[in-house]
Amino acid sequence: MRPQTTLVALRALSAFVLTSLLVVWLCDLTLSGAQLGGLGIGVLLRGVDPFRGQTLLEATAVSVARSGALLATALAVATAVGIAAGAAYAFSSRRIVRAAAWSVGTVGVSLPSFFWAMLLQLLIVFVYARTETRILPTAGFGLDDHLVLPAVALAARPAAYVFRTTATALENVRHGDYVRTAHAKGLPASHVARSHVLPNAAPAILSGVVLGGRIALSSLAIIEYVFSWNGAGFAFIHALANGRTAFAALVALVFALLFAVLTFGTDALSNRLEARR
Amino acid sequence: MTPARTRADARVRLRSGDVWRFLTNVPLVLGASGILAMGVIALFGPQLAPSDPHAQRVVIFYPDGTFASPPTPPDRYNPLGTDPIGRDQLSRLLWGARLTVTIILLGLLGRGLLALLLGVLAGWRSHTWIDEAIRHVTNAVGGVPQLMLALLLVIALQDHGVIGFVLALALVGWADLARFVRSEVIRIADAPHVHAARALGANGAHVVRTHVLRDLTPQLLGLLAIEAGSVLLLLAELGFIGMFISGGVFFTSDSGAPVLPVRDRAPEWGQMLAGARNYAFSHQYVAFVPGLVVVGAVLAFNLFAEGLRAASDPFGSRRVSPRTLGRVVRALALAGVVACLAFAYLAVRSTSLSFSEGLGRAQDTVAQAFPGGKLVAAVVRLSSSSHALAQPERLTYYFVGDGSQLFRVSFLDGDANAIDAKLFANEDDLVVDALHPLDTAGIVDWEVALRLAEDRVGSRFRSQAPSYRVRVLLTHEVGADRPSYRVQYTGNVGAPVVEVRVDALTGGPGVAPTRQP
Repeated sequence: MRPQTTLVALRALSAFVLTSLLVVWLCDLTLSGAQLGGLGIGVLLRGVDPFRGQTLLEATAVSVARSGALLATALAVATAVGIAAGAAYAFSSRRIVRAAAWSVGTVGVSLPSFFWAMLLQLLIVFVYARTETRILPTAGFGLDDHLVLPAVALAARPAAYVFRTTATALENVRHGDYVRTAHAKGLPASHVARSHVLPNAAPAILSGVVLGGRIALSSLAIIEYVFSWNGAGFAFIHALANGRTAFAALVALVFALLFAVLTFGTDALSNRLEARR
Repeated sequence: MTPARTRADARVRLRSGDVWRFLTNVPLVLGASGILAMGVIALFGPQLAPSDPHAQRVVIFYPDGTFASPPTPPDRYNPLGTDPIGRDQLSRLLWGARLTVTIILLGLLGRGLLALLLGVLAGWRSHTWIDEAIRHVTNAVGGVPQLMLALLLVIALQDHGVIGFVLALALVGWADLARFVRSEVIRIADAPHVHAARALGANGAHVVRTHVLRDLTPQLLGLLAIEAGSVLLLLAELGFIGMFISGGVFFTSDSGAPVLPVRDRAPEWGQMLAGARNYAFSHQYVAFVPGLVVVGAVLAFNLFAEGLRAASDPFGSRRVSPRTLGRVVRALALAGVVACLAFAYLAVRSTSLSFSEGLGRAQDTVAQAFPGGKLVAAVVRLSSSSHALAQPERLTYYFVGDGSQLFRVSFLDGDANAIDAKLFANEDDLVVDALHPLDTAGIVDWEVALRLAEDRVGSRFRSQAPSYRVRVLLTHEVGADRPSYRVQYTGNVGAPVVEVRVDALTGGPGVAPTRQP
């Protein structure tokens, strides 16, 4: 492992450790009330969730796996849509198209996730009321058509962020001197885009995707709550609401680990991309 | 033409050009208009509201003789409809703007100060142990999703009411801002003019103040505008899952008592979204009216940030001169801080009542509704099921009229908005004939009496009993030469009542406490 990568890994590890301490401390604070019992690391590892009849670790594993499926789908959608729209924006020369695309992106960023979720549900209900055709289920868990609405709702805001970051990055690189020189040399546009524009815009696009990922993680609890998707975010809210704070703490720790891994992966990849430039 | 004249002309041309560019910067104008509108509504919302935002109605009777049960759709009497307990949504939105804007501004101020302090410190001392330490802290705070961290913080700070909520919103989300400030400070610190200033002997603090912060302000303000939208979004998301300022409808204990304090009499946009999910299909206006308002406000903040970015882009067509931009941005930052303090003062002042303020309001009410009524008793009640545990659950004032009728004025949670006035034949343990009219001049504060009582019996009820009630009763009994407080503790069902008597004029012990089975 190169020294740079080691340093990044150490930083991610320390972030995870500190975040874990913060989460456990906060959960301990919330437990200080008479209603909510006690919390300790032993409870976290060996305790039993009384509401599910599963150990905390089993319950956490199941809920995190469900959330993982939703998150991965949403991120894939957001990345594909955001990068495609950003590239179309950057390489388009029509002002109206560009203004419209940017406006849609700004509105997309401004809409709360729960608003997207309710709009999509309402759309399905509206279509059903008009045509008596059930296009998609509006709630519940399932790795089938149940996944579509939550994934789209969860992807909406990250897609807007990825779009804006991609568009800005490509725009900046496209107007660089070396790109103009390449065009002046008579190189084909596709070659310039492939060899000069995309590699140089990649780190910024990557950070946009990571930002999108963080936003998706942040919105996960709300989306799962609205669609009754029985994942980690939903479990976190219900665990807190019912005083099962040990379970909530464990779920928060898993999220902290995900964030740390995401940060490490991004920093390592960014370093590699920067080194290639 | 003299050179001086030419320079003056150039200045005028530059300024008029900048003004024109500001005015043709569509996102900036739209965003600024939206923010200004929000400010005006926050300031004058209570005056603009067409009806009482707290008035609940089981059945809504219209002037044309028809009636309906809430929630009702928008009509000419309630332009934005009513909520599930019959309150006018437009009035609640207008009233709620002040508390919402206050929370946004205070949350933003907290985030901004933390990010600025730590970001500038880390950037100015980059690649030192200070930078590394701050980086670890920011990574740790940024390592949990915002909503989760905010939920944990709100629960942890639940006893601190609005302040706790503001702290929860301020303590999340600042990490990304601090990272941005750090990277910008590193960039600015390497600029030629900063090197020149240091070469001329300026010390670090001076350079940071006059060069780094000055250069940082335009970008920072744009980012703060986005952050304001982010605070509002978080507020709305918390409200949507049932947790709002000083309250929560979702978080209840096994016995059904709220784990978090509930004070939905203080309207706020996040609170209006609580339970919205239940009405998304059947009564869309209940969910979508406050939702659209939140979307509009966030959009205004984002457009404003977008406009600022365009104005500071050196290669953009809407760029303005750095000098003009700097002045405008500094003026805006100052206006933001002033607005923050002003709204904080207005919001706190508008809802929370002290004992004497409550008495003043009660006397005003009596003058209108129960003329000639004389104050005979005042009760401050604290309870484990109180909506704000550190605050009185209820402030109550009893007035007696000519026919021994009692008129009770009370304020739930000591909230000015939650006034409740009723006429009684008699009330619990108050024997009107055994009471003198109460003169409150020169009496000590009820908290002095409570402290003395707690010193004598121990504060075990308030700190340990899972269910308790404390009444601080101020009366002037017949046969006594001065008013006195009676502090009564009630624990769990079946537990004995403990009463401590305190002299209301000296704050010292009154008659020895009596114990009842």
